[in-house]
Amino acid sequence: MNPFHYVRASDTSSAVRALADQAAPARFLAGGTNLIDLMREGIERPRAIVDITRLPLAGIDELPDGGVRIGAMVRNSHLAADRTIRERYPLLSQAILHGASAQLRNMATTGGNLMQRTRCYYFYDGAARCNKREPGSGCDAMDGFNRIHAILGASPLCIATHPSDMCVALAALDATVNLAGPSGTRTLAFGDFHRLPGETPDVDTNLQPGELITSVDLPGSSARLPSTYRKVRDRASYAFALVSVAAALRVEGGVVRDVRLALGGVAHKPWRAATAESVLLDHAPTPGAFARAADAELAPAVPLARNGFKIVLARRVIIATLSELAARGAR
Amino acid sequence: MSIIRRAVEQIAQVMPNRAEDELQRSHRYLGQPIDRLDGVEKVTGAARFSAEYPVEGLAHASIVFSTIAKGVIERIETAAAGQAPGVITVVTHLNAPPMKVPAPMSIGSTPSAGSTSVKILNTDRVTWNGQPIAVVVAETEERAAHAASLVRVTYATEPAVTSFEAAIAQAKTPKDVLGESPEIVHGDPDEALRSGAHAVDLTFTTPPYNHNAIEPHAAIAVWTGDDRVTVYDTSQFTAGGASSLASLRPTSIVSAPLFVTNS
Amino acid sequence: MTVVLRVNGRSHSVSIEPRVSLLDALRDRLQLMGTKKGCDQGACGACTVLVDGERINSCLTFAVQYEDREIRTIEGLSEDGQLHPVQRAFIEHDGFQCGYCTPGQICSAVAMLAEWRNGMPSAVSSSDAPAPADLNEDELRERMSGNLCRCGAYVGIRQAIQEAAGGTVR
Repeated sequence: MNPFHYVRASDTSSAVRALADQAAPARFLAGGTNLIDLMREGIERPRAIVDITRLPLAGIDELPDGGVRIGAMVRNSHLAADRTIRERYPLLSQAILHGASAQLRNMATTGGNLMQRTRCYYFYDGAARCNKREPGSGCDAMDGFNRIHAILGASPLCIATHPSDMCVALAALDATVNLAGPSGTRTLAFGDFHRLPGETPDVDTNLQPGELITSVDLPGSSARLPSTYRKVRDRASYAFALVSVAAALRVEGGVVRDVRLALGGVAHKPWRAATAESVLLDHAPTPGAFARAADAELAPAVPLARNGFKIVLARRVIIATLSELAARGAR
Repeated sequence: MSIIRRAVEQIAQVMPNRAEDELQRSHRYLGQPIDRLDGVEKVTGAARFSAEYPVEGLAHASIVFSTIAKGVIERIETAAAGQAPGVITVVTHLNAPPMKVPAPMSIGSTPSAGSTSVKILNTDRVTWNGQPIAVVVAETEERAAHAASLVRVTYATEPAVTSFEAAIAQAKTPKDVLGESPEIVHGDPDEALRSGAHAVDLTFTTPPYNHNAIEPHAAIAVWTGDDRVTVYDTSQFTAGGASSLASLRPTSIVSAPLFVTNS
Repeated sequence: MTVVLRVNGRSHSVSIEPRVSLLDALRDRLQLMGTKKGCDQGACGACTVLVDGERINSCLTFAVQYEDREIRTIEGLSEDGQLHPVQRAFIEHDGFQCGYCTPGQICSAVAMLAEWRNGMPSAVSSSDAPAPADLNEDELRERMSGNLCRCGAYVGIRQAIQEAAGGTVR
């Protein structure tokens, strides 16, 4: 790991100023569970670190519309255990609990979970060609061991996936992300925070240089939806998703009034399945409808040499989770 | 009373004519839940593993590994590593003392623990992906690791055979197997599958499994004077390890009696 | 830089670079070798220590981040020479072989039991149900999944933790 200059910030504006004052590249440090690993592997080489763990951003506060504002420094485990979150957004709690290990959940923060980078083996291997690490160098995953790679939204330059579980739930729940930077504050819809690889796989998010995540809001309109998170992986615990599904379903008068569907493990960003949702909305929640919705969402899916199974798996898990919710609602 | 004793006495009650075996009373420890002798040390963190012996003035070594599977090191640039803060030395095939390759693993009266015929650090040839090709020694682990990342290597890469199927074409019959002449018999699986009443023809592959212990491979070498070095190592075969280390006989270091301690 | 760490109730001043992990600060600078380095990448849990009672992987930290926190390592679990109940249970149920993962397992278990008693949910329990009365096998495995044991002493580890939890040992 390269040596670096370390400073600690005590509030948001001084943190933003401190980062701007440091020799580039500089990084904010929160839980460190991804950044420190990347630094030790030589993938991230900041010359300065601004430690933001003491920023007063560790609250979970009610919003006027019945939603909540989650501070960027709230630890993943505390967020999952929070009573208000469990009552209003159980999908978020479930998704977090399916990720990482207890130790890592105690360390990781809301902001850091959004910022974590792909676990593609070739991204991590400094001797491999990787357009995310070094634009223009190539992608050794294309013809390599691409079992864990993307089936949706990929580009000829990059087939990496986003590894988070929490983010899949946030995508389904219409979260918004509050930012503070040198030019002031702004808010991004969750779907606009992470990027698809396109021509610039080296850029993971739409953050402007020097911007800091201060909080994530969940709207009241996403509260108390019947929901479930299902994660399919090689081990029963402590492994990344091959495919995961965050699903929520509200049926009234025999017809779907609200449906949320997001997929993990399939794309460069948490994948909101908007096509599937539009197929289901205002229709009866039947097995046939679920299958049509899954097929519509997965129609553009592109299999690689070793991950074609994900298309079948995603289809089945979408249908299974929606069926589970429909059966639960029918009781 | 142990579970086994209780069970035996139950059986004796159920089968009253069965003569009791006096040996049943003479086992003192078998079947008893005996605490491990090092149990307290292990649960309190006091048990010492190989990297944990206190040594004054301990330096740290970080190894540089090849990133190609087969080929030649054309250039290895160590200036930046050598000048990094806290670095004591950088050893490569260009400046390592000539060393004898340790004899292959043998548990006889001349024990040895060699595992390769490759002249580690004494050759510019790379024979596997991850072959040690340089060692950086520094005052702290962080400085050694960082300096190791500054070593730059240029390879002339050669095609490597890394699949079993591709290697079959070059297979050789060994002269002997565990002291006996090999016997190679070919059947006719195609005919058998054709003529059998039932045929199941599937291909199964398993990846290589590595029984990685969780403790990292770490060793501490302590020179006390010119003629004695103590090595703390993780090993079940301390005699073999000591013998092999002593057999390296690098010409610039006086050959020394080696003390290898099992951690 | 000078970093002050509070470890097992005592303050220690160390002169280290910011990149030194809490794990390496404990082992190399404070000579507290009980906390182990198994993978140095947050994948094995051998480096688990308690910070203000919560379990973390000390390898994925910089020591300097943990000033002003109460850090407890395996060396700090026994009091006045008396083994912690979890330590005693590990001996009694043979929850180890080589012993390298053991300090991490024990620290993790101590914190896990506190989490469970405080109602922390898991992926096994439904997110809106209270903590289960009995720490059943599925719960225990899930809650301890961040600690690997390459000797495979999991049966003994599980039984030791069940004992310490006051539940039925199976």
